[in-house]
Amino acid sequence: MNSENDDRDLMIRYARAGDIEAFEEILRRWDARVTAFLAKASRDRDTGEDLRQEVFVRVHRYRHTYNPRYSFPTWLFRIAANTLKTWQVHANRKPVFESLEDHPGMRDASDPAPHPRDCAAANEGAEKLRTAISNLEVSERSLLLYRLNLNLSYREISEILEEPESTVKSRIYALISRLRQSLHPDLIT
Amino acid sequence: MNPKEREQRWIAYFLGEADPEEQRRIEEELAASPMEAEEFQRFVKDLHSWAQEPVSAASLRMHDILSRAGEPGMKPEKASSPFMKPTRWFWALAAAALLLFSLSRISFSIRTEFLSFSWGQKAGGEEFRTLEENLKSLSARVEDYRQAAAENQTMIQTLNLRNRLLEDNMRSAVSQIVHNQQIESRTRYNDLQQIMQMTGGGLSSFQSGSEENSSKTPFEGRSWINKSTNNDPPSNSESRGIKEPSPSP
Repeated sequence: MNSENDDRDLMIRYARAGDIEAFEEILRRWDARVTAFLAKASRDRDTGEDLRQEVFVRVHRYRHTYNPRYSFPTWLFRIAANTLKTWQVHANRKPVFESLEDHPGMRDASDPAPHPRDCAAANEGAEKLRTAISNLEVSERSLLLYRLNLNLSYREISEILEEPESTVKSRIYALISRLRQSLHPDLIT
Repeated sequence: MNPKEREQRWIAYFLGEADPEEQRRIEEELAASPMEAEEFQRFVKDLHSWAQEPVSAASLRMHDILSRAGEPGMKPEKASSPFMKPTRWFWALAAAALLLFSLSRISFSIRTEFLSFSWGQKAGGEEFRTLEENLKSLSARVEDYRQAAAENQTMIQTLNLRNRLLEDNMRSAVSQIVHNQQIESRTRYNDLQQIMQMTGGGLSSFQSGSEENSSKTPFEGRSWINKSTNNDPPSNSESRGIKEPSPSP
């Protein structure tokens, strides 16, 4: 896997020397992850693809503002978060109460796992969970994805969101707890 | 420990954030509650599977980014929609076609004193013949106007010449008048001189009594005149060859 230093070096090469090959390498490494993050956060694959392009356009446009003191993923996903926020403001999207699995683009064609509805008994919990996740706010889904999908540390997430590390951790724990309770309303809170 | 606190610790454990000692304690708790532990484990697994599920999407190309960023030398992407947006040329052509169609459907005629013009479905050979005749008539009139303009031009030149001659005549007449006045003045002055000589000191009759002091030459009273009176500079009258009358006693 790519290391953090590699990403930082690539970005420095691109920002300072205009090394296009370095940018292509960044693109190759981060394209799928950025797309997945944006598609899941926005709950729409096409939106995710569009936003992904906008994110990399901004990376190109603001490459000179990259500060090597920060990790590359922090900088990249701060751009992604801002892009998502802008999209949310303009689109004025309202929560759509549909399962992620209803969107064909949300499932990898190569994924051998059967559709949850095909084995309802076994995956009833999973489907309920996805429904509960789809009912979350965009910012809440993003928060979960930073930690569970991108494996960013609380420090990195706090840098992206410009919030204290402890607040970020509390919010993520509270979110997970809320999701669990939505699956098991009989749980004592 | 309340259930809320225990849940928070379990979340940390399943996210791999608990330290080794805490891990050991939580594993003991999980062993003590196998049903709840299984449910929690399944929940966290589902959460991870949602988060890490890949999303199929076409790879982003470098060209797309640079062209969208407006980099020079990068052609913008073609519109993905099969319905191309109409361009300005399209609208211009459509407007021209509409105008031509409208003109072909209407008929009108313009008749003035010099010109008669018809357009439309009724326009035929007769109208074109009329138009040709009118054009010939118009050409003849234009030629007339051109000749008239040439004559006017000649007249203007003649008038300019006449003005110039008049100016010359006037200038010479004025010169003559001035010359005559000079001669007359000189004659009068000579006559006056002769009269004064004949009357002999009769100049006083021309001067008032209060002007006695003026009988002195303008240079009197100056030191160099008093020293050598023989070298007195000539008066203005003498310098001009006019003999001044001697001062009155």
